[in-house]
Amino acid sequence: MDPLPRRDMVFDGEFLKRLEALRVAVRRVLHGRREGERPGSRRGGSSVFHSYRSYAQGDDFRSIDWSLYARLETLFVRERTRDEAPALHLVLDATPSMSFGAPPKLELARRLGAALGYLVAGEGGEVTLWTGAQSRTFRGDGSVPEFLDALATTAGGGRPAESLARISGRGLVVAASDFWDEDLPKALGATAADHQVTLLHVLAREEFDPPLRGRVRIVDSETGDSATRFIAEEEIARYRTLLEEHILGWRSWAIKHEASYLRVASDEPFEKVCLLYLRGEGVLE
Amino acid sequence: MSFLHPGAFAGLASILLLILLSLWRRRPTRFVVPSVRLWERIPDRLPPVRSMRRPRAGISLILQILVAAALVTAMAGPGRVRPRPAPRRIAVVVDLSAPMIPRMDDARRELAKLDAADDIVLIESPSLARHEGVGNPAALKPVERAGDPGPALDLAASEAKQLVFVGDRTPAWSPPPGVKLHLVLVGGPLRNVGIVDANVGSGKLFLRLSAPAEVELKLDGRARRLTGSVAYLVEIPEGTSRIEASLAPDEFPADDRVVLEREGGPVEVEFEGRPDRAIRAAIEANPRARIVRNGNPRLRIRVGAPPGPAAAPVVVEIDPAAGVEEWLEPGNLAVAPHPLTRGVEPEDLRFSQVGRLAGPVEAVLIHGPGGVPVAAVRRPGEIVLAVRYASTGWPDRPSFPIFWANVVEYAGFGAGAWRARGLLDEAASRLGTERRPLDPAALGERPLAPVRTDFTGGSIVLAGLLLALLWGVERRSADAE
Repeated sequence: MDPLPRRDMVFDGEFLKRLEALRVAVRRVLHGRREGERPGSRRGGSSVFHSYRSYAQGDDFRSIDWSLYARLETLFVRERTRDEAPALHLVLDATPSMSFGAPPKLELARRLGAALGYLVAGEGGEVTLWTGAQSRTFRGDGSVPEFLDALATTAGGGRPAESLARISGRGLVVAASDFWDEDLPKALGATAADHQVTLLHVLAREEFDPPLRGRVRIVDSETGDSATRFIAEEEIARYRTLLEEHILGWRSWAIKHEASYLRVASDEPFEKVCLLYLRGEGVLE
Repeated sequence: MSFLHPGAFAGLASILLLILLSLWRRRPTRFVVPSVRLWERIPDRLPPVRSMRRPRAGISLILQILVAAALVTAMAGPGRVRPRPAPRRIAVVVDLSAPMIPRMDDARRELAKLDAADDIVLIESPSLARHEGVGNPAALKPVERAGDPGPALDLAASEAKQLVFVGDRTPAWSPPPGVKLHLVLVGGPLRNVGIVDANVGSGKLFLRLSAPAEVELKLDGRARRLTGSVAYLVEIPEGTSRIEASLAPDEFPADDRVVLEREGGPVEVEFEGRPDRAIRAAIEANPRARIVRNGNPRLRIRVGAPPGPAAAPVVVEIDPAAGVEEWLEPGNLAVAPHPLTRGVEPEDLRFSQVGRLAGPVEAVLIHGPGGVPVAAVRRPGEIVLAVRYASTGWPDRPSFPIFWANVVEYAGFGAGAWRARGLLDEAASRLGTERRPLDPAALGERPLAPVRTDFTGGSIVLAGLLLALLWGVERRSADAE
């Protein structure tokens, strides 16, 4: 996949104004490394109660819960959570199958990733861009230009499953892919246990309405596997049914794993997808 | 349209095979998709029958069918047959014997009437020279002798079923069965008197003419005129070597002149009298002379011999014992022109004495002092040299062997038989009088023959072009994939 020109990663002022009014929805407690505005899993100085623990010498006596002491005559210290900035793992599927479509599926995936990464980095968060086993982390809003550059120059890499297997901690995982990889459900299942997962299911228009008729040897763009079929309306109808099942399967998977899921065609307007669909699916708020 | 091998059209079955193959084994279109997962779950099936009935008319299949059709057509040998007038095979015999000499213009005009589009073979008679086509009639030259056209007509009959004979008379020849002879006769009345017979025997010349006429006769250059008869018997002198008889020119000059000449043969020489080594050596050196003894020689050389009978046609007397009036000092000698003195130089004649010959002589050879004859032809066949040359050196001079060679030559003229030149066959002198011009219609219409224009090469070229186009289409298709 050819790298995108930088200007494609630059959003116009009107869009940015509307985008900056949103933020990435965080439904789980974060376990980030950077302080921010989101409730984290670690103890910290926020106003949100975290837990009680026995008082120990040296603790700030202002944190002793005296009411509890009155009932139990034991000193407990009220601990608060630490507000953290979100950590976003942007898993970009840059396999050959993502180069299909007009425009290519990867282009929409990059731009969506850019918007999400821009929001996360903008609030001081950490964005890790994954392509296969390769990753690069960008922290804070100062790294936005660098992040956009890296995103624009993303070349064909490994499979998303390889990225998912390497993600640790707790954070946001956004996987932008066409989800044809058979290993993805398993890899995502493991990731979803600790992360808030968002699936951006990008498909080309030709995948919804394949222009195949007659005797066709269908070749897989990634594996090279092929299947020869006689294709008529009957087969196209069957394909559409299977595709619906495929999409429904991922939607079900998302529901099951409390993940967000958005299925989108690569030729849909980016602003519409970003500001309307992502928000509608609860990815942005 | 016709075909040389119509059975080759069975090859058209290959087109059916091509269509079936394209239906059942059409190479599927290659299409790359992001994933083949869903398609693998869709079972494959054979194309429905309705799609077989209406196969997609791919350009490749159409080109394949056209290539196959063009190749099959080429194998069938296509062509178009049209009836066209075919050339007639005609053998033309032209008589080029002597009687045709005055007829050649007419003969050439008749030959020009032949259709050059016909398949003509021209045979000359009597030479049997053969040419394809009429060629250039102006190049036809008659020979100055008679000839029988029979062999030429036989040859012509082996070449064609239609013969045209161009001559001045009807040949004594019958065509074999199946062969038609067209006579084109260019004879006609001509004013002609010819010599039909000429011979020499027993010292007499026999001449016979086709009609009474005046004959001019030349015997060794001496002219005589014979008049008023159709046959002549003329006495010819001994030693005559050349006879020329000629008539006044007329419209057929080939038989107007005859030349008779004696052919030279070996000359037998015998010596008599006093031996003379020098003369003997000169005679021995002459290839035409042969020295004999006690034979019947043509030439007898007598040296200092007494007078005796001339027992030979030619006798040469040297230093004769008789017939000399007086012997003189040689003085100034002069050589008279004569065949016997041809090449003899006076300064070579070195004699000790010369004798004045007595009596009349026919021709003087050498004049002595005061012009007296010292060497002469006394009469035909008798040569006398009244000279004495012992120790004078004459035999060493070039004139000595030349003189004796002249003597042998002189004696040799009477040694062989007479041969006539320019004497035609008597039949040749009787010129044909019949005229029958060529009637081209008599040769019949040119038969209509089916002439075939073959298109096999065109079919092969077309197949090649289509094949190249098919290759291009297939390559473009492969590149597209």
